[in-house]
Amino acid sequence: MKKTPTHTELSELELDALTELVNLGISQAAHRLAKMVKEEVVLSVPKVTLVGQKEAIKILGERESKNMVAVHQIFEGEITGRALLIFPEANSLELVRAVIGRDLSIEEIIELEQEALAETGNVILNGCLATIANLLHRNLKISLPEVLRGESAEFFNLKPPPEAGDTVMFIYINFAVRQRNIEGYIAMLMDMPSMATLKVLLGEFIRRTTGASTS
Amino acid sequence: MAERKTESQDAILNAIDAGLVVLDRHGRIVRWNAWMVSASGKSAKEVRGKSLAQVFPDVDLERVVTATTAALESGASTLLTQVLHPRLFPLKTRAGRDLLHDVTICTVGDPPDAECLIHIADVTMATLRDGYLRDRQNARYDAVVESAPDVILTLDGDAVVRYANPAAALQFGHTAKELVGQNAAILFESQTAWTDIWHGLRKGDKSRQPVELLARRKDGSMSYLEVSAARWQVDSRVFVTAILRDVNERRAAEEALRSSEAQAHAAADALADLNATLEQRVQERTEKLMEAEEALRQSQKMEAIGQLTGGIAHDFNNLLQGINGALDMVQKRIAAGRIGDIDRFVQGAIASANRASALTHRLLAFSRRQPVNPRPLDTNHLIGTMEELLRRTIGEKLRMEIVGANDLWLVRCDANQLENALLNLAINARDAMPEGGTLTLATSNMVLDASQALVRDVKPGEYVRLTIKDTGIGMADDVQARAFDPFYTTKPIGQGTGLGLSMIYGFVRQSEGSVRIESEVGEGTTIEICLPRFIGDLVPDVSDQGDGAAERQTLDNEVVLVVEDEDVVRLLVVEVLNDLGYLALEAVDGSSALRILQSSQRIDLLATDLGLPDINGRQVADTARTKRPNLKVLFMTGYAEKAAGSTFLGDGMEIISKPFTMDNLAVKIREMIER
Amino acid sequence: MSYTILIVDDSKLARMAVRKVLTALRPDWTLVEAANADDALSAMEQAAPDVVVLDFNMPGRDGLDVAAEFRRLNPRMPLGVISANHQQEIVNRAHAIGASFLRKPLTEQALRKFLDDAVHQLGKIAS
Repeated sequence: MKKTPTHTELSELELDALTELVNLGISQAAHRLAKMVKEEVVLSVPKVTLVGQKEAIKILGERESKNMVAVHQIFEGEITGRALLIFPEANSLELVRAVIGRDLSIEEIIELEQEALAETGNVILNGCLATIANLLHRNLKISLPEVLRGESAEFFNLKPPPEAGDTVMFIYINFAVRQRNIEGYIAMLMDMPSMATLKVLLGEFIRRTTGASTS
Repeated sequence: MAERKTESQDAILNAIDAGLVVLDRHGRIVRWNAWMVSASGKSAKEVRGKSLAQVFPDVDLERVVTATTAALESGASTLLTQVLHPRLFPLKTRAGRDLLHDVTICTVGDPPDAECLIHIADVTMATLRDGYLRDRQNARYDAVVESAPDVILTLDGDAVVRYANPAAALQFGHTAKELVGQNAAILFESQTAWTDIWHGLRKGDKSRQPVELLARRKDGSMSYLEVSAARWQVDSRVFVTAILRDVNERRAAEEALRSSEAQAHAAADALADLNATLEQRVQERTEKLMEAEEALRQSQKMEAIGQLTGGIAHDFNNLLQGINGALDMVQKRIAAGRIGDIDRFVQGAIASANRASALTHRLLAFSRRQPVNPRPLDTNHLIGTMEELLRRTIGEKLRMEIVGANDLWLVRCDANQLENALLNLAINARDAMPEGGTLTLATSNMVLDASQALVRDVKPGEYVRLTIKDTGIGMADDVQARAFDPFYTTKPIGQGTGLGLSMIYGFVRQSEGSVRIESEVGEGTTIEICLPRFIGDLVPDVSDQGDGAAERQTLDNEVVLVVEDEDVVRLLVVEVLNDLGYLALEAVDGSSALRILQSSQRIDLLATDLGLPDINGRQVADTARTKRPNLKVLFMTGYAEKAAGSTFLGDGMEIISKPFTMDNLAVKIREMIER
Repeated sequence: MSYTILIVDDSKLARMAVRKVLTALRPDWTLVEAANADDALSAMEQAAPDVVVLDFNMPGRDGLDVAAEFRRLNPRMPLGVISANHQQEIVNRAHAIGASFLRKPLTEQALRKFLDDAVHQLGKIAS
């Protein structure tokens, strides 16, 4: 994993714990998504990567075509930040088709896309965020979803910028609805103080889970 | 105080035109606003303290329960849309119709004391309107698309099929369901063509012509489809709707048409010409014809070149005939002791020899190597000087009459060319009268009016008309039409060059005159030459005064260097110079000439052949002039081509074309030295 | 009766969590850990475990395929598949190869039940 000095460093175990948390969160989200689409949602092993904002833009820009759709939610509490569920535009239509379940014309899907995406993204992000918050024994206030379209640079440069400087954390997870060729990413953007808090909370989580101390 | 606050909050909640429900942390209803009362038909009192499941026992509330739990436990906000959850709650509008609604569920306050707010928004109007619009549009659209005989595909920005109509399934053998989600490229055999179309569309090319593509069906068979496609956009998302028309039948029909057309074309080319843009066809065909003619002419030329040698021999033979005949006569007269009138025959022989020399000039002129030398000319006089030669040429079987007009105007042309023209025409006339007849040469003044000028393709005005008339076999129309073509001849191989008339034509046109043929088979031929009148006086020809000039000997000791590799020519030139009283020095090549020129020897004139074996005459002259800048130079050449270029000759340089008469040479040299 | 149990999980934290609960419940058992499928297969030969608990979500390999391979090597061995992903399809597949499904995050209660069942089964095999 790449490390840049601006990051709050996480130990190997802390990162392992974070990955496990994300795994649990995304599994919960996938479970809910599977209920919605009524077919199995296949998860790749989540890759949790901590990168800078610029690197996040680059990673996503290199992997995906220009036009993407994102469902955006804000979480607030001891940890504050933005969560984004990101798809290539073509995939988002497939996802909508999958969750609506009815046989719809392309025109209908386009019409319903915005709302369906918002709700689908909401389910996935809530599942993920709420699970992580619960496991960390913290409360988060999670906003309603908002659908964004654009390029990766736009997603990672949303206004207002974090008060305490650069956004420093980017987690991306690949998940797929196998029969539908749907792939997506989840990104969480946090500022420095939130990262510091996360490190503390991860430490507590590890102690609770293993009975051991990380420090 | 708290009670008043609650009352005022209730008033606000009741005034809001949306459903508002607040649940406590155990999921029990604590608030139920007026809108909810109206929409659900249940009073606030009735529902207070109950869970949603108790209020709506027949409804699957799993998603709502999950969402309220998430709100109460995790602070998560949830959106439940009409799109994914139609009629989540059994609600009615005030008019009693189904009330369509979106639900949002979020947290009020902080856990563990948090409550849960359920907000229900009426989207009935918007949804119904959207649905109505969509249905209306779809009805129209579906009617077209679903029943269209053409394949209609909607593709997304990545060329993935998003919609395929029933015709698509029929055409490709894939079901619509199989097609959706596939990249459209899999349908086409001609990938490059498809890629071109696709890139064009992606770039936003408008008004594309339909393109024919070869498609591959599921069973592997091929099908020709004509693709027309248009790009459309929703937000930033690009779609392409493509219509693919089955053109297999049309192609087959076209193929059949093409082959029958080809047959028809071959059968009735002229008709096809008319159908097509006539003018263009005519022009094309004319051009083709001309090309063909040109090719033919070229091949004839090649053939004629073979005849040329023989032809020239023929003409030379005629001249040699004159010379030999004259010499024969001289010999006879001398033998008989009647020498009184041999001068006439000697003159005839010289004239014939001159004509022979002139003929080579003509040939060179014909190959554009001999400049013409137009000068004022009395045609009657010229005919007079030729009379003897002409009579001799046509032989004794034929009569010759000369009808020269009195006060004939002067013309301006190259005398030698005109002589040659007469000679050629006389020979032609003779050949046209194998059984005998009369050749008539006539001259007259003629004023051509506009129409007469037009017929002759000259300017209206005063002309001298010269006619050469025979009483021979005449010419058929097709022969007349081609009589002026170069190398065209009716004579057996070896007897004519085919150059005669065309050379005459060229000479006359160059002199701004005209030449015409009047002939009928069996009625003889008349050739008419019209030459523009020259207003002015005769200029004495150098050759006319040549005798005197040659005889006038100079006693000056001018020195002339003669450079000539041909011994005979050199000896002749030296002889002439000596006769003129000049001192002649000889050199056989350029280098020996230069040795003399580098010395201090007096040299008044350098007479040099242009084509020398080592260095050419021009180089000899240029080198000599570096030391003798004012040296006069006379170039002697068999080709006069370079004389035409004025840049070739510097000051004090002249050129004389071979063959030249000794008199001409003498005159030229005298002129140069005395200048 | 003391047994050897193999825990296969790419997450160190997850292995530590299992160890914590196991130490509390069965302090006399021998615990062997493996972080990936290859290590797990070699541990199968060397340590000859009596019970295996393995993660479903592992990089590069489907945990259920690995489980099926274990089952082939030892048809009667108690086997637990542990996963955060509790979609019915996965639970069904685990049961199909005779494995118990354990949901992440792993609770002490769930592991206790799995171990009790395992001991019961191992006892039957022994007798």
